[in-house]
Amino acid sequence: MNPFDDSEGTFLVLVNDEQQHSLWPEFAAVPPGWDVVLGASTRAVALAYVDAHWTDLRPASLRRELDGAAPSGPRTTTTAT
Amino acid sequence: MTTTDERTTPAPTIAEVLPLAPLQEGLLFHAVSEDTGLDVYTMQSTYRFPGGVDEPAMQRACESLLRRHAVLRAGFAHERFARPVQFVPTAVTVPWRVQDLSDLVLARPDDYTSALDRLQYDERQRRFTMDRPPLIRFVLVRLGEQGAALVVTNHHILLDGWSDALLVTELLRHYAAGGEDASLPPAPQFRDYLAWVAAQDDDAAATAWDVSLAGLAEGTLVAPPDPRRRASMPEVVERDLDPTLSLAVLALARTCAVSVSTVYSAAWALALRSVTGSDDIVFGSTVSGRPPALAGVEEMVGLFLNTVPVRLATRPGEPFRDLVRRFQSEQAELMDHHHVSLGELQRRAGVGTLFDTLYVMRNTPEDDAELDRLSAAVGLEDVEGGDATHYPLTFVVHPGQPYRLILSHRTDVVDAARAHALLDQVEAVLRRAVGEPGAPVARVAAVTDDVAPLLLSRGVRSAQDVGDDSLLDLLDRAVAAHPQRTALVHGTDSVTFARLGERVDLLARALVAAGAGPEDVVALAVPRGIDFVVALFATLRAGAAYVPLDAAHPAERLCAIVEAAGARAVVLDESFRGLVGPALAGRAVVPAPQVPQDLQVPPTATHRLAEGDGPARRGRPDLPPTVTDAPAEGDANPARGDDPWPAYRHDRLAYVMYTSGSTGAPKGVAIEHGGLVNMLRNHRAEIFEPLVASRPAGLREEPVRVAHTVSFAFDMSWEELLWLVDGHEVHLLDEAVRRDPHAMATYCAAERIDVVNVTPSVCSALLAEGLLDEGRYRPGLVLLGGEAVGAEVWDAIVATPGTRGYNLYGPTEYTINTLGGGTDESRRPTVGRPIANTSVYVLDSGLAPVPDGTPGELYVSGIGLARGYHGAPGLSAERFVADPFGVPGARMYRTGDVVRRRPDGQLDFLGRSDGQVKIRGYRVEPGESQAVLARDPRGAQCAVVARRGAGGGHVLVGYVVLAEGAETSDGDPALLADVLRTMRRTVPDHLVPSALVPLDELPLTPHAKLDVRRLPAPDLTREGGREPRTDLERELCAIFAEVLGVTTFGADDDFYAAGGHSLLAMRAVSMVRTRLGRPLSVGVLVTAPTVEAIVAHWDAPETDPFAGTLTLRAPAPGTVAGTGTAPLFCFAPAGGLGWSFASLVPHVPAGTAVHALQSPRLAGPDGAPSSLVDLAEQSVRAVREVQPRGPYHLLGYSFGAHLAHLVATRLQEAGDVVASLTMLDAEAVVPGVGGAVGQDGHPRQGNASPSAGGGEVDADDLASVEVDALRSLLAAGGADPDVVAAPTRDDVLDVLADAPGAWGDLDEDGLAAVVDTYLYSCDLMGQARYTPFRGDLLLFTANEGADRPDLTAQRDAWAPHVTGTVTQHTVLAGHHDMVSPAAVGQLGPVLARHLSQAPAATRPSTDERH
Repeated sequence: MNPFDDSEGTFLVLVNDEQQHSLWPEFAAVPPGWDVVLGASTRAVALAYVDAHWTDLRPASLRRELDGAAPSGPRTTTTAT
Repeated sequence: MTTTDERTTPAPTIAEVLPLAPLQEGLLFHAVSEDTGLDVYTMQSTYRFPGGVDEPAMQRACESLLRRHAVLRAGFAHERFARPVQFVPTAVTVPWRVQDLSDLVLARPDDYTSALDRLQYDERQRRFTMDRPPLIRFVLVRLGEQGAALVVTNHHILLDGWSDALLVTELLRHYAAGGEDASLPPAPQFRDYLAWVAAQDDDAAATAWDVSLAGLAEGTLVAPPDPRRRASMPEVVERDLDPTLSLAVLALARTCAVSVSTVYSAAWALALRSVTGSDDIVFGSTVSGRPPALAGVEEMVGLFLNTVPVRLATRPGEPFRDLVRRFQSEQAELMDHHHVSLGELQRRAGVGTLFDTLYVMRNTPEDDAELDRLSAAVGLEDVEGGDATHYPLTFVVHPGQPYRLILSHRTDVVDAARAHALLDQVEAVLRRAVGEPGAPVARVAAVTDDVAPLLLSRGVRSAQDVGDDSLLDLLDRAVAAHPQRTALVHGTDSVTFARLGERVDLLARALVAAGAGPEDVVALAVPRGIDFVVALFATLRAGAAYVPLDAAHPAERLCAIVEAAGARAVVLDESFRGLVGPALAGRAVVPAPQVPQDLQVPPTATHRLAEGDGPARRGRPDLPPTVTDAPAEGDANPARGDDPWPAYRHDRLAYVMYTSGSTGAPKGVAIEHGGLVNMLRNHRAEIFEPLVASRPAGLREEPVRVAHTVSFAFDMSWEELLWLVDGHEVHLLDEAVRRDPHAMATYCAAERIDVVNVTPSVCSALLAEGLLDEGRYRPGLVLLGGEAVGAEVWDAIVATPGTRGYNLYGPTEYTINTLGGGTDESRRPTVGRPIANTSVYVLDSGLAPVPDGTPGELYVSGIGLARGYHGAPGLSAERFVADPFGVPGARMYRTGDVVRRRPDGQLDFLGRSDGQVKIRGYRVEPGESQAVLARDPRGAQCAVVARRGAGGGHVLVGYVVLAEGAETSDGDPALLADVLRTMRRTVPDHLVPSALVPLDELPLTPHAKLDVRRLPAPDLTREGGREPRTDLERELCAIFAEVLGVTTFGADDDFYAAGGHSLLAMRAVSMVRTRLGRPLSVGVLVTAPTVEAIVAHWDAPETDPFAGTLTLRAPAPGTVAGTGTAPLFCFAPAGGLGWSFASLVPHVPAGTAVHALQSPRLAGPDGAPSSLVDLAEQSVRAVREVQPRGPYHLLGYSFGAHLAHLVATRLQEAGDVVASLTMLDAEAVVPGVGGAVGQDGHPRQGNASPSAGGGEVDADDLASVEVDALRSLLAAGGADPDVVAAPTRDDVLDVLADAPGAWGDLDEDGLAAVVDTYLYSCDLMGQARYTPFRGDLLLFTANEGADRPDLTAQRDAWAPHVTGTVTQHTVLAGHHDMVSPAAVGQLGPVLARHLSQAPAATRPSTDERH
């Protein structure tokens, strides 16, 4: 079974500079360039954390540029449903 | 030199007959199933006595052994018994032989050992005959000054290693006593053990083993089972453990409170994990099999030893310390059940062979103090033994200081290097485990630290600059470089690059004006065609991202996608309004570009002029006014130079594609631009340039013609668009053509297609249709993708000179392609190597790289990585995960695909790690189907699994436990059918199970999970299908059964209900064509999905071939004439027969009745009107007889087209509505020019006919017209019209009798009637005088061989006779073939659209407005 699919596994939530989130199995070393934003949790809790905190899937640098540019009208923002 | 007592024994007295012990059964099976060559279960021990041996004493000692232990005298028989038995003779002659090597020792004192080796070898090679006991023999070897040796050879079935040790001890005691030690107590007998086994509680043992093996998906095999593999003596690699490590392992076992063997066997399991890539490991273990409860068991001689499966299900996160503790306690549960035979356990587990490796912890009493003492007493110095197994690998742990690891490996399966690597892995596991017992399995079991970086680096393609240009910039460059080149071809439609660029810009402006911009999603509700491609690029140009919608999917699904995508705008073709209407609210709606057909009136606007025209000049007087709620393309005409295009970034969203999601909702893969640009740059180097370079020098500057065959709902559809961006000519194959391999192959040859991009399934069908046959224009490149490539397809392409195959692999989540490999790079199908700027890792469950050759899951990383799943952060975060091997902060996508890296670095696709399957090219999560099925309240519980249909592909099978009260009076079948119908309304067909099986309960494993293996296989054929009655039915049933992979197929079984789908339909149609020589199209199979319906379809015209009106599709039941959909009337060509219009029926919208009007002349000259006007009047009456009032759809073919026009205008004059008028290859008659149907049936040109005026034909002309008529008849009858140069009626009768068409039964009179009718029609045609038809005309013109010079002539000739638009489409077919499957494949969809839009688009007559 893929470790990310293990419903009984223990997971962290990681975030990189682009504010992208990743589930991460606790047993594996945290890869460089990623910060732990949620410590060891059940899979369900980790997913709920992501859904609550990663509300805009756009890479942070793109978001900054688009939001920084004078918007010509209301923007559609991708949000969690 | 040799003395021997060995001789054949007289028939012995049998003392007893006993059952076999568990392992004995297995060994007997091996011995008798492979009864020549080496028996690897031959054991041998050699005892060296440097001081020499008292030979008679030794012989008596040996005889004493056999006398005391009955088992040593046993023979084995199986042939006349229900179960094999062992029989024990009262007494046997002990095989004893003396071999004297003394002379040799004297002559070559340093080299006599090779002679001894040779003797040992020969003894091992000599097989025992299982039913000729004893199965043991002794050779005493005299070695002169070197003393003597005793070589004992026996079959393993008699005794195990423990017994061997007991025996040598006893032998020495007898010898020491001069031949028999009378002081020994009576020997305990093996039969007591056999009695103990028989007394055991079978149920308790079965339960214990069931629990141990529950949920096991497959055995652990290091090599695929191969029944042809012969036994061989294995080779051995071995090493002493580092003494420190050896001690540390003992300490670890103590700390963890487990046995030392548990630690070593866990290490072995983890080494197997890294070899096989599986987390769930089973290996064989030899157990002593001596039940402590049995008195004297420790002194018993016999085969107690058993081999049992040891299972260790690992999880990467489990600390090693916990793992070994759990392992030991799981194995303890089995301690009392070690006697169960392996065969029985394999049967219970039900997954085939459970293991092919063995673990042995040497634990024999051979180093007992007693043995040492005796050895010293009798001068025994050395013992050597050798035995073999049929297992590819046997891992032996030899206790000692230090412990010794021995791996015996069959060299034909595992070479020495791999064996060494395995021992390295065992050692690495031990080293890490003792270093950190709390470390997780993921780390303890990872590949050794020195090889991991090497393995990772093999999947990394070095970075290449992709530049800053967008794909649109690159397209602009193609437009600038080749403005007049043809960019896209779709049927008769085409656009140049210049025109494409303009149209893209125009629609993009409309989108910008509608508010669409970066990061917005635009839904493309546009049918396949040039419009779609324009809309796609326009969306990208506007900076937005597109989401494609597939009209084949249910409206509910499409609306859900528009909603889920949060589309800001919808590019809408009116044909989609009915599908997506409910989802349009609150979104900007931009009409799809209303493309003026290339050949519309006014006829002065030629195709070429229109091409060069600026958009503002494109007049469209023909278009009905449409309501536009956003600026339409035609209205925009913005000034150039004020580009509103937003600044470009590679990480901007480009498209969102929806694919099956296991939770029950489709998931939208969000792709950014950078991957597309990277893909183009990669493909240029890897695919485009090699193809261009392979062309003749003169063609290298010419554009490549590329067939676009893939639905735009797949990202695979981008392959062809990349060629477009690179300036090549892309042919968008119509829906009907791309689904009909025959039509597709025909198209490719006729249009000289250079590149096709198809799934391997479609490719296979195309090959069957001759795509790569010699002598035709063959594509130089076949791109494959979307599913695993079979060897058959691969080999066929490899074998075609001048054609290269290229397999492109990639999940939707990594822009289009991840890997690619050509047929010139691999002899076997391969998914190839990573594309540019892409890394792929093959990882185990602990996220460590797996060794080459080991299956692992594929992870991909690089510029093509999707942003995630649109609007689904949780799903994105668990699928797009941190990449531990790339640049800091990088992500990787876990594909779920299981692959294996070959030594050459290419990857082989092996399957899925989850339940995902491909069905008809669609990615399907059975979980999604299950989630949808679960919503039906009539089911209490349900499961959906993918099963292999015998046809090769996957099918979904649903299982339901019906809810209380869900039973209906109709019984389950009707209810289940309705459940499936309900599903079909909400999800696409590929997500609907092919069969639904009712169950009383879902089978569960002991762990309460669904036990998939116990789900019954569905019967995909309906029970009680009617037996075929005729040979034809029988043959058809056989073909369908074969295609569907079922044993029987009834004459009234529904092909689709039985699991058929479009790919299987293609295969069936091809087989019908080749085996039965009968024409059958996929379309006909859709409307006539049973054998009897197909036969009826073929037979239909034969019932009354000359009836005035043939009903090809009856009106829907309950339809009151005049209230339902307008029926379609098809007017027959000159020959008068109309049955061949049946091929149109599948394209006519559902609910529309179809009737063919045949010539009254067929019935004889008497009833036939003498003028065209009268014929038209009679036809009007025939129409009204079927349906008294309009609206009507009218269609005419050749001569019938004129008649249809005349009937149409008469009906309009009478105040009826003619909803549409369609003509198949007909030219308006010009008064005074005359001529009717000329050579080859083409309408004759004015100056080509000597006969002016109507009705009169001179004799020469009569003959030539008759020849035309006959040729026409041949063609229409399915025969080659050129088979005879100038056919006579007799010729035609002969040919048609053997032709595949349904006219084989036409008799002489019938044929005469058709020929006469043909001549009659030609006579009347010149009389045609038209009054204008009020409405549009859809005209299909035959264009055989694409070289007809006067394509526009037909259009121009008809234009004056209609008030509306003449829309002309050319069909790649001859005049006589206009209703052939290939032609209908082309014109059918256009006709379908025309008919379904006609009521709204056709202006009613003035009369009707009142």
